[in-house]
Amino acid sequence: MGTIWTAFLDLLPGNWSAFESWPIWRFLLEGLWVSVQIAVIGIALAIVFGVIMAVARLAPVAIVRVLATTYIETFRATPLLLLMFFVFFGAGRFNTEWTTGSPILRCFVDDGSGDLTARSAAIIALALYNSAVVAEIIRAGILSISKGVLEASRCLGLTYMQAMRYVAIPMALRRMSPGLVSQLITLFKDTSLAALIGLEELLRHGRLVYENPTYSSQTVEILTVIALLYFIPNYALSLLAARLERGPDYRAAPEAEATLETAVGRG
Amino acid sequence: MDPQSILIWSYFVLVLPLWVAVEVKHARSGRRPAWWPWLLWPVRALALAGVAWAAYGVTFGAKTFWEDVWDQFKEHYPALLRGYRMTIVISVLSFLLAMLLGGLLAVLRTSDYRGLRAFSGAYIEWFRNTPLLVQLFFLFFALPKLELPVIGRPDWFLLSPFQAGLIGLTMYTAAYTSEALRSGLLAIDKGQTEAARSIGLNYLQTRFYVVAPQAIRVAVPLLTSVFSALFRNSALVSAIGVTELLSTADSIQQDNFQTFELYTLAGVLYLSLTLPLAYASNRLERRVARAR
Repeated sequence: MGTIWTAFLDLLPGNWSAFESWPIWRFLLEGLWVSVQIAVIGIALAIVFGVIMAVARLAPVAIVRVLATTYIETFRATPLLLLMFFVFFGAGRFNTEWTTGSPILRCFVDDGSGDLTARSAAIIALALYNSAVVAEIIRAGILSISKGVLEASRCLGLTYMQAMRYVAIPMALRRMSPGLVSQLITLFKDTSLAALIGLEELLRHGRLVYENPTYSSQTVEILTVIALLYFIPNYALSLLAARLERGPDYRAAPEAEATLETAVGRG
Repeated sequence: MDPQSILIWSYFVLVLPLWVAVEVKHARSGRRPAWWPWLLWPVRALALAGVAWAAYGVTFGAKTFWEDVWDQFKEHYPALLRGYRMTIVISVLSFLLAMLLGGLLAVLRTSDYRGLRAFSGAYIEWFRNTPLLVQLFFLFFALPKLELPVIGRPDWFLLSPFQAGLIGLTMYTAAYTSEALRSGLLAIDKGQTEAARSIGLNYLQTRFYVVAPQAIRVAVPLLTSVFSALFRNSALVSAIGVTELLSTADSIQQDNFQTFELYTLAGVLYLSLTLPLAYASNRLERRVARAR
């Protein structure tokens, strides 16, 4: 196996000797795993806070609406790198010792010094920025459901909760899903910014490899592999987003119609 | 527990949920008992008093903070405004270049030749699905070491930070502008082209005088938000050593440790660029939606 791989690498233009051995791959993949982790935690937090902010922005109470709008517009318009620096370098001024007493909060701080870790700073910054963007996506999804749809389902005898559960929420979810998936792509790309605050993720590990004198002549090859490691999951996600945008496959419609007919009974 | 924190906790645990419950009950239709207004207004007053107190605290308790921010601005404004100018210059220049490149890519993407379509599609997918930071690192750190078959390793591959930042931002943004322009091109009905051709315009005239003006009009709101994103992305060129707004604020902060003040200042300066664009994007979007 190893010899086939080496022979393949020899065929490629350039010097790929760094990728002949497993440890370099393992080092890069460990970085990728950290990137994936903070992307997943980041999108989960962003969706939770995004839903809250979207609902708050549609609230009937003016002061809530104003606060949510301020939050959304401010964080959407701030550079993410600035937010990361703000959270990571700025948090040093706060006393974070009290967080070690709480079982959840202590995950965010370093055990030794009690400072905010680079990983939690990156997650907080990603969640702040992306929750604002996700809130706008969700708000657009909610607003796109016309009132007539809800009224029609109420006329058919569904209760308010049933109309929400079976009609409005599925429609809104389907309309938001392409936007949410492309925001996940952006978020995964943005995890690379955490390299600049010293988090050991994919780009930082790649830099550590090509700044090593042994591999310094292979910067081009190493950066290409890093770009590919970002590209593959993102491209898969972008295909998924395009698929979601196209909507359900209507070529399957005749079959569905037939099932409906058998279910309802003809005439 | 001191009385102040009891007050704050009871506000969040008692008053706010009560307020929400009352507002929800009030917003629903149906008959309400006669004593209802007597409950509604005290709860609202209590909750708004909490909000007002918090607002008072933020404005006047934070007064010294904003004074510090202003002091930092007064002390360092030449450097900060130079960084601000660099952010604007690099963003505007690369937006103009990205419009040209993106227009070309959009035309290729909608052309009749499969090879051109595939090339443009591959470019767009590659640049949209890899991080900008990796692209900038490639241009700045890897390109000088790239050995090409025929031309070898030319001197001009060694880019200055500004050149690398400009090229990187342009190539990254072109993928987005081309998508915006393409959506504009696709929004124009085929009948327009056919009508223009049938009254005697040739292919290029049709594209320039009939399709392009309408397509750009559809694309303008999208392009505005791409431009706003470009302002935010331009912060990344600080990583390869361009002295723009963020890296200026960062280097001052490393000298005097006024971290919060300087980052806040940088944030306010960024918002002065991006908020008007976000507002314009919203307005234009509504206007285009109404016109169609």
